[in-house]
Amino acid sequence: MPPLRRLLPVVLLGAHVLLVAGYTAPERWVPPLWRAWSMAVVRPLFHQGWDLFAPDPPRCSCTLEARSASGSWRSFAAEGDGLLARRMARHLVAYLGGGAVLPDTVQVPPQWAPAVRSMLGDARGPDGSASVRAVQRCMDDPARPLERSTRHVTLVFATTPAP
Amino acid sequence: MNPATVRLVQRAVHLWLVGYVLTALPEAERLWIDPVSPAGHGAWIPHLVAALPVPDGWVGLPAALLLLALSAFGLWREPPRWMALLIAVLFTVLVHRSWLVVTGGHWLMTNVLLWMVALRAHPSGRGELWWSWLGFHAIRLQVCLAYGMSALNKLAGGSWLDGTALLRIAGDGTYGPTGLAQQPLVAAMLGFGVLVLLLALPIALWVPALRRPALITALVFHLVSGVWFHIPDMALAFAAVLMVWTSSVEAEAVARLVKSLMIRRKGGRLGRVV
Repeated sequence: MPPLRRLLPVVLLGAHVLLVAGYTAPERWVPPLWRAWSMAVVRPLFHQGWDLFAPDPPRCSCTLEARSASGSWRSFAAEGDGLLARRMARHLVAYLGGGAVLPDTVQVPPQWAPAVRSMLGDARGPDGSASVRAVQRCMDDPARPLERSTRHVTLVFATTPAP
Repeated sequence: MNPATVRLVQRAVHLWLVGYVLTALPEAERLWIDPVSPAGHGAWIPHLVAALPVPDGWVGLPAALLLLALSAFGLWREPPRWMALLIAVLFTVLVHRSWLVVTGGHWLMTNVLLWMVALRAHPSGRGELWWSWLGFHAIRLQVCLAYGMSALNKLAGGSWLDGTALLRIAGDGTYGPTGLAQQPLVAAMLGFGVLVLLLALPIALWVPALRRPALITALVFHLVSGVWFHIPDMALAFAAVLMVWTSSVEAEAVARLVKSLMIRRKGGRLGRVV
């Protein structure tokens, strides 16, 4: 086999590793040009992320609750729900910023509103409206992670939820 | 690269895929048919599939069932390249459709499945050997990258270095047992242990004398963290892909073990019938 052809897979793999490293390493440690190339090449075909509980585990635990027709609050992911349903609710609230301390009222971004609505299920009223809140348990001092205070955050939709 | 290892990793990945589809089927409505996850952007494969003149409904449940059938075939025989490519495409489309529930293990699998298109247990000719070598080493490097980058991302924060990271996780009621919260010293030591493990694995796997202990430690680490953090699918994905680091002797031993277990089970069932 000609030396160039023997060397080619090594070069290809080296370039791939460097690009994936630039894509998945902490952003502030990667030079901007390297990061840009990594985003352009890795994102479309080789997307991945290795930042579970990194750089730090979230400051708040957070769950979403909806008020049912009877007036009681029910968690989006109750104990009886399956693993995937519970994970869906947990990831949804993480994307809404629930890992950090939220203000008292949060407007659900338009791109996330359909997801929140479809997770509501039968918790919507006859007119399709629903009261949704986030229940956060946040560390008061990161040095004492077990001391947490509970906060209730009202979530509002930009427009009235569709039935 | 040897046929036993290649076939073992192929079977392990296909077994994981079978489990993935079967466990997700009860949630198929919210995952794939009428997905809760907002449409993502920037990924080529889902965009290419969306451009096909196929009704959107076909991308949901039928794709999952086809993936199940092809993965089951992969357990039995090595899928031809076109089938390996189809498996990679179907899985990537399903993952992107339900990205709100996926873990790092699913993203690991999307990458591994793409490289598995190049991988052959018995490559014939120089061209096949070239591609197979590329796929095999890309999967090996992918595993090392996952550990290395996970460690780097943790080092970028403060809590993994001051030993409070696992306490924070234990204090968060949405993750597993909270008993660790009462043992700050144990939590700190375990946290440092995780960091050392993640940094050491990408190196230890390349050192022949350390490879087997590293492999066993990694498997135990994934199984424990999978149970604790309620991410068994992620744990099993890593366990499956880690098989790429087994030697031919180990791969053959695992294959024999599985075969003997299956024969014993089959024998037991026949015995009950008789």
